[in-house]
Amino acid sequence: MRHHVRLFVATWAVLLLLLGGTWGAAMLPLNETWSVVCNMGFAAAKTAIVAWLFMHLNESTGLTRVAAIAAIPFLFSLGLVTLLDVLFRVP
Amino acid sequence: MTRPLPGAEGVAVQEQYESADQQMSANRLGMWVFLASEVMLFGGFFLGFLVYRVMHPQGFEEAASHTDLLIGTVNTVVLLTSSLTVALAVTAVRHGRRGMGIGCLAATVGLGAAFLALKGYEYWKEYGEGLMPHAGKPFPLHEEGTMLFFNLYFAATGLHAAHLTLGIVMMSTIAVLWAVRGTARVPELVESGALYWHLIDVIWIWLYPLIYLAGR
Amino acid sequence: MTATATNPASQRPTYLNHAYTLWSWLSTTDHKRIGMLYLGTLTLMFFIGGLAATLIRLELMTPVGDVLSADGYNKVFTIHGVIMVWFFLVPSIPNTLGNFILPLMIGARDLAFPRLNLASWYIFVAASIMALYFLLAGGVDTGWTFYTPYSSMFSNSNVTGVIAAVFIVGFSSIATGVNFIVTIHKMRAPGMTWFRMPILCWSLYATSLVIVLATPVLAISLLLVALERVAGVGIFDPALGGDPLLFQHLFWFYSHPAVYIMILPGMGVTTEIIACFARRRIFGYRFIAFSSMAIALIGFGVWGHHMFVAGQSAVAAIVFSLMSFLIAVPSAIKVYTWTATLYKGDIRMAAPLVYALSFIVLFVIGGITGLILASLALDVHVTDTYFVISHFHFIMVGASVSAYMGGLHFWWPKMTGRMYAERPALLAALFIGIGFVLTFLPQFWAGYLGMPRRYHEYPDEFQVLNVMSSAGAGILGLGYAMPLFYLTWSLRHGEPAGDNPWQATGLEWSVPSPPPKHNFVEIPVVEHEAYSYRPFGAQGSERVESDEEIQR
Repeated sequence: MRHHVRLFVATWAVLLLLLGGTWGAAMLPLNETWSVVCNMGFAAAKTAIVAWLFMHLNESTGLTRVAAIAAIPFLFSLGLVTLLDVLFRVP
Repeated sequence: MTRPLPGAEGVAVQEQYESADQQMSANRLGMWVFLASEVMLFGGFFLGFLVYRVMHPQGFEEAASHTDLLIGTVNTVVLLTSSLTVALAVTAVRHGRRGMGIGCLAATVGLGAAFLALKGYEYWKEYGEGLMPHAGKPFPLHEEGTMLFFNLYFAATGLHAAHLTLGIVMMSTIAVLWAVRGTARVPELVESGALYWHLIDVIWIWLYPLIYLAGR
Repeated sequence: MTATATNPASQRPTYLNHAYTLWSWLSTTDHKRIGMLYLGTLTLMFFIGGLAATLIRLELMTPVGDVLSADGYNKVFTIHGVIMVWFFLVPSIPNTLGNFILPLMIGARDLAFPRLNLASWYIFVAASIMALYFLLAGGVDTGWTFYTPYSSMFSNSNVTGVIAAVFIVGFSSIATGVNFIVTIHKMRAPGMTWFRMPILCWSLYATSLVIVLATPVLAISLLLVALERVAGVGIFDPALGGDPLLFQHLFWFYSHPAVYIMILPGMGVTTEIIACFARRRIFGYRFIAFSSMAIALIGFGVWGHHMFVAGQSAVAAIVFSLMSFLIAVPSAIKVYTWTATLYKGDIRMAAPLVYALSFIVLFVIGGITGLILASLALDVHVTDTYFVISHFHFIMVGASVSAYMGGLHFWWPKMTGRMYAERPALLAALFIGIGFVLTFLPQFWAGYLGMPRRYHEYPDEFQVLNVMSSAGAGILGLGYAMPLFYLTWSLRHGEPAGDNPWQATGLEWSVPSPPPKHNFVEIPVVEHEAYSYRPFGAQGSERVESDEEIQR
């Protein structure tokens, strides 16, 4: 019990640090690509931590872990193929 | 399954199940599968932000610079903290700590309400600036795509706020059930509710950079 | 267990006779009763959608608009599309047969979430009433596709109401999808490994994956259209720089996989029927199981073939075209495995098999014309013509509804404890097969010659083809109406069916017909592969696999 409380408080602290990182990176004079990479990278890191620890994926079965990431490839393909349209459309 | 799942002790087993373990793991899987569908729901907004930013990069950057970064960031802190309290509520229910659990749920509800209040204030400010569609004021930005950004922003944050409101209702109900009726169905409810709450947090984690940080 | 089966309902408690009140049905959480509730509701919706189809075919008998006004015609084909797609075809097999059979097949007492299952029915009924109200009182003229900007900015019809109904019925779909996925993962009886499951379970699993991952994307696209209409929050508005094609991407990301939601369960049902009536183990079990999964997954990458002429980029179009060709591979694998199963089988022509064979024929015709539509250049010629109409009706109606009918006949004895009358059943199957082909085959010609969809008038030279089509629709309608009578008749007057009238394998046939409330007195232990069929009369006995052998 105490172990979990400590773990979760530490997790929360790391999440706030990452949020600070996100904010800090956004203040840096990065070009558009790098700023998008930073934003998405920090968001992915925060998501992974929330899912792994807060949502107990660390103690879940493989099946639950698969269910947890199941939507990602579909979302990714939705975005990717739509981008293939948007990026290469003849005006 | 050899070792019992955490929190499976003392759970009332429904008649379609053979054991508490089977019931708990079915509940968890069901919740995760439902969350996958929620992710796809918000996926529509993520796609919208992606496609329209590619189409109107200047418009999106200009529009994003008119959002309130401070409120957005504070709200992110609020939601991340509420994720902590709801995770602690799960720990409490697994160890049978009723007082701590109800306290954590109350804190979660409070933080959720604080988020909504801040969001409401932000909407009100944006209404004042004429950024809200049909606000009766002239839209102040002229770059193509700026209005699109704000429409997408209001739709996405509105749907997110609706989810959060539902989460608040769920969490309050569970807390009351726990306080009044004891622990019969509470462990499963807290676990499922917590997963849902964390997902609302995760959605916000992605909306935050898409809305507030574009082109800062 | 077999000895008690001759007199089904009177002595033994079944799911039907343990309570008779209306409330016992409306508050039931029994998957079998909920399946029956869905059967009733969906039959009603099917005939309402069919009535709209009748009006369409009546209108198209003549080249001039004499039955309906142009606007009335728009509203009627929208009724037909919306009702048939969301309120019949998507839930048809999963929510009736799937609900009833899936737990029995895998040896479970119920679905994982029985109350959610009941809730899904109530949501469905509420959404149906809402949809019917808005479609009939005022109507909608956008077609079932709700394309923007027409739907969001110009149409003066009840678009918002119908969108809300479709949005709500999505919850019902998702609830069923989640329920099936969890049930198949968590509720299988001991020994019921993944590769011992009947193929229908695999196809219901694949269907559920598509439901869970695609339906929310439809929900969001419709929600955004509604927001644009109601609150003026323009998301797809070209005047703001918005992109109507984004709506089409979101819409078809659901609506193409939705076709697989409609056809995959039909493939599963067909597999069950063919194995049983050919008395053979299904050929290539793993191929057919994995091809269901492959169809579900690849099905998510083909949506843009609905947009070849809509102005999407050539790069995207090529990708979508390739993916659309690719999905023909697992579909073809299934057709080959069914054919190979039939080959040298001990075939008995009963009504379910006739439906299953219709399924294969109609599916092949629909599938091959699909390849024409997947080819970029050919598609330009036939887009938005009756060629497309005919193609997707072959798959979604011809094949899918044949499988639904086949499954209904196949499991009818299990569901009701009574046999239907074989002769009218064969006749109905024949009417449906012939009527269907006569209705839709001429439309390929009409479409290829350039007759566009969604008009109530057409040039004179298309009249012969259209009259043929309408005549076929008459036969088809008769075929669809017949089961309503002889199946209802069998409820009271049918021969008692016995536990296993088809001598089929599978756990659902090891319990009495109709099954008791909680399906199994004791959860069975499975020790055999699915489909351990032997020919009729092999080893001097009609019984192929004793219940004890399966159940132990």
